Amino acid sequence: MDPNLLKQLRNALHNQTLLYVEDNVGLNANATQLFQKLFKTVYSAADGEEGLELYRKYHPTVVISDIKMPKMDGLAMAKEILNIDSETKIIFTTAYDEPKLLHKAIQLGAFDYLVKPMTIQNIVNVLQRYTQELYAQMHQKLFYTYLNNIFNYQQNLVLLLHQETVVMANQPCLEFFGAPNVETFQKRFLNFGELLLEHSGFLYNHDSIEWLQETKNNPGKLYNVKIADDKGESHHLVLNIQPIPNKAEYYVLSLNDVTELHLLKLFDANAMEREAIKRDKKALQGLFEMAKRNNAKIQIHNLYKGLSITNDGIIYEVEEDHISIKTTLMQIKAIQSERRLVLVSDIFPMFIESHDIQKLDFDEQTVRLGKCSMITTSPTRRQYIRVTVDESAKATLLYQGHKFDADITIIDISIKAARLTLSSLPAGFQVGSKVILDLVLGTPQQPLIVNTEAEVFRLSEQTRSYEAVFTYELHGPIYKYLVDYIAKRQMYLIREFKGMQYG
Amino acid sequence: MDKETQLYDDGVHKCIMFSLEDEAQEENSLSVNQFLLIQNNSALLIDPGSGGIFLELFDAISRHIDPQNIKYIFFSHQDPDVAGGIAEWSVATNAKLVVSGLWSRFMGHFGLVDSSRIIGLPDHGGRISFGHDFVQFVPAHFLHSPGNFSLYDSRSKILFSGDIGAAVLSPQNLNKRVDDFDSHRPFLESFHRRYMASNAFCRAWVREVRRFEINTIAPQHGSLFHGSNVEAFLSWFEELECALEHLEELYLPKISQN
Repeated sequence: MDPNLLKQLRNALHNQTLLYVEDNVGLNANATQLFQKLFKTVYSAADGEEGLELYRKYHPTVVISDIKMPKMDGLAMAKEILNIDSETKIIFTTAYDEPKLLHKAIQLGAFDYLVKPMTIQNIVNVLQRYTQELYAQMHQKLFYTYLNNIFNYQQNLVLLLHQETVVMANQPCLEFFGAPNVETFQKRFLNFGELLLEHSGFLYNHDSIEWLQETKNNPGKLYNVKIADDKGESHHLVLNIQPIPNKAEYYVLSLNDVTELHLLKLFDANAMEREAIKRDKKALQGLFEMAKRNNAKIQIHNLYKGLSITNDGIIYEVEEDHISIKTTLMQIKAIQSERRLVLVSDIFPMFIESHDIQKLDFDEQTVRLGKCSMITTSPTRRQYIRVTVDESAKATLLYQGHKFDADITIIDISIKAARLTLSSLPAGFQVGSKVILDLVLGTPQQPLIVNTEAEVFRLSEQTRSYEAVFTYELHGPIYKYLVDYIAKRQMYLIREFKGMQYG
Repeated sequence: MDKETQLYDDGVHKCIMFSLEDEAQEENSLSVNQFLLIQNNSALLIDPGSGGIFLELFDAISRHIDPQNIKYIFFSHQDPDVAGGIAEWSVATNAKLVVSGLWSRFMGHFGLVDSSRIIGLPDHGGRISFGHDFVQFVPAHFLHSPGNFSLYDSRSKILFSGDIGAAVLSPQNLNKRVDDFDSHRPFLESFHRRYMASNAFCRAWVREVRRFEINTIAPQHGSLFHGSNVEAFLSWFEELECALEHLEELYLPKISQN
């Protein structure tokens, strides 16, 4: 036999107590000796009566017992024991020629049996099964204790779901929905989707969205929801579903009530209302507070020479006049270089921008922001990657058949558009005007020439010049060469950015 | 050998395999496969490979769908023959790039510092549902990369297994299908025995993928397993002894102190 096996068994059983009941004196002595090597304590008895007495006194976790014995037999004793504690594991020792007794033992709820004469091998096999059972039970118990702890220390409304059924719900949850117990709440939960009220940007059931499917598909994502309590008052809550690892189809659903932050209006589709509240400093603070309380993942966007640099962060401090965010070193470097940033989160109704960078801490990986403001379009979130071009790059324009004579510089380009600065504009030049755009990119040894029809997409007046965005549709090899150019340029800018010094 | 093979088409859902070789690797053919799933007007691209084949693959895809409609690009792991072209693909499309969370912060080295473009998969994987169909990212860690996933497509019942099942020099690679598992097996053995971490991971992966009904296993190198060869491969892989089981071949024995 594998000596490791006995060692493993001893490890698993060293804090367990055994009651061994056997009327054969010789066998009892021998087997007890063996069991003592494995268990913390072994109580041995010569018949059922004595066994029961020892059980009542010491409450051992496992019982190994003969069936046929004087005074009280093993079955009668087991019945009494299971009446006291149905969790006790009872293993009978029995001969092959006693199938009826074995059958009775099974009916009684015996954990297992050992065929006589017992060998070390079959004792080990049975005890191994027992330790496996112990292990599984312990895990189950730990799992529920753990959940109970989480549930009861939470002020959030928390429920445990198995598929679509509520297994557990904490007290705050029952109180919120005015349910006296989990069973009542379970019934109400069947139509939970109907409780989610319609609100702009919020999660509720409609044509293309079924709330449970949506949240299960996006574990960990935060959703704004509006729910009426049992008094009919609307509450603003942040909902989040997390699957439980290693437990298929088990989810923890939590709802954090943020009604007192008065943010509902901020999500209103009504633009007038929104504009008014946008100027409200308190509303912004409320948003940050909501993100902080829910540990919401926010994205921080920056640009470096057109290159979009984005990393996750969290808001970890919200004060009257400033907030602090924690993010990656790379992002802090990008913020340092750009002196501004844009914050984006699933649970924010708008983008948030700040130019007021008060403190950068590279050791703590934090950034302190003063004044922030809400913006509806983010200048850093882009559909296509845009990069600034190399120094020798040039652009020329052909408008109404004439080469346009002005100073032209390229600000940045993507595969769909180029942004240029023009020192002056030709007459009649406006949004929608068609031009021929000629770009010479790359090195003089290996130039990339893009010659294409383009359209003025946006036009704005700067102090001494104009900024124009031209869009184009490239096809064939030139499209791919431009992709290649932008990809290489991007790589170059990343290296350049990474090479910059901190502080 | 055809550079393009249609693996599945039911009118709504399509799967195409491209077999484009990186020219830099021409002399030692790696028999690389790239896969494209198309449903309606959206596409998912699987293991598009290095920057060296970007232009050719881009062209090949364009014959089936506008590359702008690629919604997701999945990289089974971080190797350059799988993910080397990330910079090009991130510029050419606005697809979300799906990769193990373990590698997402390394993407800067491949040319991407915009984490909003990346979906970092947690170790247990994940699922993207579309209607009744779904694709499932199945954990395949340490087979061979520590952050590695296979992808199962519920509609075509194809399991895209990345490096698992890869064989580079098998004569059966010429038509990209395993006709005779027993004669293909020696070409699997040398690679898997050295690259895969341990039999424990092989078993765990087989247990994971057996949850799904699989018609085809499509590795990133070499031939595909169809029909009864799927089970033949899974049974073989489940019993495979790999690096840990042959530790003595990789490390010198312990020096005796006596």
